Amino acid sequence: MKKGNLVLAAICAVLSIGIIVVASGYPTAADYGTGVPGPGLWPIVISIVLLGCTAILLYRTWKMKPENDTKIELWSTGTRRVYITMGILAIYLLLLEPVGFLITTTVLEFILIQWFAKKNPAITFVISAAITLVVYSAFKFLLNVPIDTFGIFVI
Amino acid sequence: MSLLIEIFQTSLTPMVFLYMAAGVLSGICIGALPGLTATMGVALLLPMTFGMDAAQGILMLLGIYCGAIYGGSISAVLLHTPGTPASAATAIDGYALAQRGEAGRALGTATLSSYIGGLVSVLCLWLISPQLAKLALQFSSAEFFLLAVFGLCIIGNISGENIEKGLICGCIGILVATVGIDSVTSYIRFSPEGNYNFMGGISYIPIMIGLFAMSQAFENIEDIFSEEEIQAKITNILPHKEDLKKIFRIAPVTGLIGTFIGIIPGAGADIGSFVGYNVARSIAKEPEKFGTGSVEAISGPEGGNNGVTGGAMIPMLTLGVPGDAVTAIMIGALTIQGLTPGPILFESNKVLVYTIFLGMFIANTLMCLFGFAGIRLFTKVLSVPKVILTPAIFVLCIIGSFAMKNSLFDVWVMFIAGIVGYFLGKVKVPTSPAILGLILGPMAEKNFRTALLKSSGDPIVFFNTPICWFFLILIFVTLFGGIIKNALFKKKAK
Repeated sequence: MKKGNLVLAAICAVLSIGIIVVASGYPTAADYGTGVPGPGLWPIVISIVLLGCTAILLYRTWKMKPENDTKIELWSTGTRRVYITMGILAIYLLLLEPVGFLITTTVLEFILIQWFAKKNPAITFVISAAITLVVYSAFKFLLNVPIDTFGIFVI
Repeated sequence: MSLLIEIFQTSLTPMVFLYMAAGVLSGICIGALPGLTATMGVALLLPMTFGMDAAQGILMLLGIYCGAIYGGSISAVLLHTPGTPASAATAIDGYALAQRGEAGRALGTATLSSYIGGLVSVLCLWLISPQLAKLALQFSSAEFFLLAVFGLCIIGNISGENIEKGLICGCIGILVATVGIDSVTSYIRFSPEGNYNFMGGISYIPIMIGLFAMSQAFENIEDIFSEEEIQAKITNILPHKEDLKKIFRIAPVTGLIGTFIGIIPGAGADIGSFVGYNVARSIAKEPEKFGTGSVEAISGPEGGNNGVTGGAMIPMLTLGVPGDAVTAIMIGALTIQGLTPGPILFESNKVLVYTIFLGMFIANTLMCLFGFAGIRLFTKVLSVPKVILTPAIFVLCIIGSFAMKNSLFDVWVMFIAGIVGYFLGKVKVPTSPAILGLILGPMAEKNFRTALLKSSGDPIVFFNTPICWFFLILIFVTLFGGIIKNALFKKKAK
């Protein structure tokens, strides 16, 4: 948990300092002449609060007793499965626009279900196609969501 | 009376009943499945409401909400695994009763208690909301700013032991909400030049779907091969006379307490459930049986968690401040329909408001009817394999986030939010504060700057009225109440 907290604190510190730097360049109240704080004030205030919370997190992590320091599983069989799924989904999203919803989604479902369920590929294909068609029909015909405005079969 | 006729003529049409019934049924199924929460269910099915009118959409979501909170008790009783966090307290005695071969009795008690808790909360919603809305009509920008700050201070209360982590998540939510065109000066903030997706601001609905549904699906992938067997047979669902007496003594009380817990922004059904359990123990005739399969111990938390549903709607409808994560999503649903929750809604759209009240009553009644009639069917839902359900959830997340603006950019936002939510969960950062930040952050900023604009930059505007002082005291108590209480107890102990 200590390492996790330190990584979180580092990300938050970089984020808040970055926002303060960028927002400091925005117009100020004086530029508008109305007494209204400029667009940079609010993000700066929140970033300072974020920085304060980060400092508290660092302090509490530093003071954390060894018996409270639980281990975070980031490279177990389960988490590796999650990372691979994330990778598959990222590729799916990249292919979604050029190829279209029906084909990519059927392939995605087929890959994931076959991987997890290890069924007969023919059965897996039927299940994948069924899920895709049900979702497609519900959104396209019942809810009028234009999910066929991109891809190979643009209507 | 004329309002009631108008409600039935314009809003509560057979189609609305159908959507509500579909919502309750899907809510019970979602709640019954361990790993799928009420928040996830509402976030996942929210895009379904985009094509509906306001009453249809919001009542379907209400059906899901009520159904899911109740549905969590099914797996709590049968598997000792709460379907939603709100049923964790029910699992203690519900499972113990099921182990004795009385699963039907436990489920019947949970169903009736949930119904009673829900009805009490609807009654409070009906009585309190109009009065609160009338009061809120007197609010100006300064009061709304302090109300939003009060809502943000609640982040500390919902973050458990990790207050600083909750605050970090809340701050990130507020900062994400600042991306795009500034509503007061129209200045473009934190957007790459020429990128219209960023300039329009980042919608919070894809973020909610990512944080609550996608990240949960990633967590499910970790132990995708674990399936649990249902142990118990379900008979004697209808409560006996003796059990009815116990339920009618406990559930209305815990339902009322749950309602008031729901009113507090940020306090959700899980808190209502555990408080309900404790209250039930203090007023029970047989408190010594708690933990061994007591009907009173099931009735307490179930009345409490369903009481929260109506309570959480009160600040959402009257003040535009979400009572919990689910009502935060409902604010999104109303906004998409072009409606702004808050006191003005009671003036401009009275029929819709009262339709929601009546719809909540009907949703609870449907939940009770479906609960008693179809309990054996709902237990079959527990047999749906995770290996098929989880990939289907991914597709629903993707199409759901696309549906709002027909934008693939939103799908990427949802995906990234899902990954971030998954890793935040690993370091025990609660994600609900991000949603509070996303909703209340812009409200706070806009009203803060508008108030200063009206007062020509004089900060005294935030101390001018009794309502301002009321909120200032509330903020002070929320922030420092715990510290003062601890200090006083230490003094007494010495």
